[in-house]
Amino acid sequence: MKKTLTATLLLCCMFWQAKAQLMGPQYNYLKKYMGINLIGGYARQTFKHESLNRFAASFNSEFAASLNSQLAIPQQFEGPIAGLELSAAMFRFGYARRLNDPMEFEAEYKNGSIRKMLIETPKNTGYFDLLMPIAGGRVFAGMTVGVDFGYFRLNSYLHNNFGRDTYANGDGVSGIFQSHLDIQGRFGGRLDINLIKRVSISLRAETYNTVIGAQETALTGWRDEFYSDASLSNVRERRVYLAEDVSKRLNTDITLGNTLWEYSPAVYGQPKGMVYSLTANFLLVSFNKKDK
Amino acid sequence: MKNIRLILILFILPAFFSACKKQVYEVVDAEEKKLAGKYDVSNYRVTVYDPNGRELSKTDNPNFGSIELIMNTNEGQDVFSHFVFYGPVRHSFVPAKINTGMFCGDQNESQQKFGVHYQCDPSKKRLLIAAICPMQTLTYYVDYSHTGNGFEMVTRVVDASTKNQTFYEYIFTRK
Repeated sequence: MKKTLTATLLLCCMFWQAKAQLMGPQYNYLKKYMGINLIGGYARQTFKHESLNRFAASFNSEFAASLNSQLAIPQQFEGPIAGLELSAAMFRFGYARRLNDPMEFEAEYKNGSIRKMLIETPKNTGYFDLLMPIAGGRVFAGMTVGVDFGYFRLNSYLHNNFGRDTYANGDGVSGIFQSHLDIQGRFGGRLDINLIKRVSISLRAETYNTVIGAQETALTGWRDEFYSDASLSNVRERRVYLAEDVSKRLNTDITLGNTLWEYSPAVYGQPKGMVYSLTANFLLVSFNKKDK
Repeated sequence: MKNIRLILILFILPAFFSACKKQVYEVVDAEEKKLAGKYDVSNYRVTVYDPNGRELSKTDNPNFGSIELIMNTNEGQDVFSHFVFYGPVRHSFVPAKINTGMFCGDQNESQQKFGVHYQCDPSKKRLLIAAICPMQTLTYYVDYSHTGNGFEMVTRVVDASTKNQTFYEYIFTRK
């Protein structure tokens, strides 16, 4: 209830401020920052997924004797971003799309085959920023709140030593594992510096984490993704940890080689971390009549 | 305002998530519809490699019978479709990963056909093959990919004792 009241109060303040900005002559100097911004830049994002890390650790431990190099889940990724932003001076509504490549990592077996893994992360973010003008509007600083669709996809396949890639390997850790759709929130700070007419740069630092998660049951996660038909291939049984949030389940590992796939686990959990970005913004369409 | 938010949380979000879940089977159905039909087995190639990837033997079996994929009628549900093999292929051809000594699947000797169940998952590039056996249902995955006029199916089996790798390739051309 307190949170709702606070949020309502904040919203009221924001709209009051927005009205003041648009109506009050003392805010006229902000009008030159109103318009549609084209944004482009670079973002670095940390990627922390505890259960994936634990899965990699157990994989490395179980397969240690046959591995030349170990599997290591990347802890961050980076790449260019681009987007559009509606700027009402203090208020910014925007959409950004990340253009980064998937994270790739691998472990090489002693016989020359390579376990290859690739993580595709969400690409789109919608955000709302509240920024306060400083130094006559040459600098804006404030908070940013954003929303992502929390979802990622893990491709795990074997590049065989005879040159072919196979997903269906009967080893229990191959496949394309897709998390269900959650909604992730972002919260952080933003600093804008207006350099020259129509051009500014933005610095952002945000945390991201799941705020609304889909209902998770044994049937709604990454069901059967770690299903193994290994016993059909006569692979000896091994136990590895699941790439899932163990707080949601009692059984935390899977026996590779177990064909009882209907009991195989769902994989839960989304990554969390920080996002740092630096973008250049160009005021593509100005709402300031004098500026036209 | 509070009621609207409650309605949002209680109805719209679960509906949204269940819609996403439903889409899974819609995608599967759409792909099975696309695959459904009759195909010639243009080639059935078996290549054996040693544990280090050195080729030991390669056998090509061109024009090796035919297959038919029959879409299930329960669209939107988790129901398997039928994968029927005709001709010399029969059961010895199909279950690369199933112990053929156990002989599973739906065999019709007089019609020279052998059937299994399958479900495709286009997003994961694989088919889940299921063969009903007396004591259990054996299931295994195979990789597949579309070609110009049909599709390819590949799977790899590792021999427990020798560690040799057998790579099976099935090339199906639409009739």
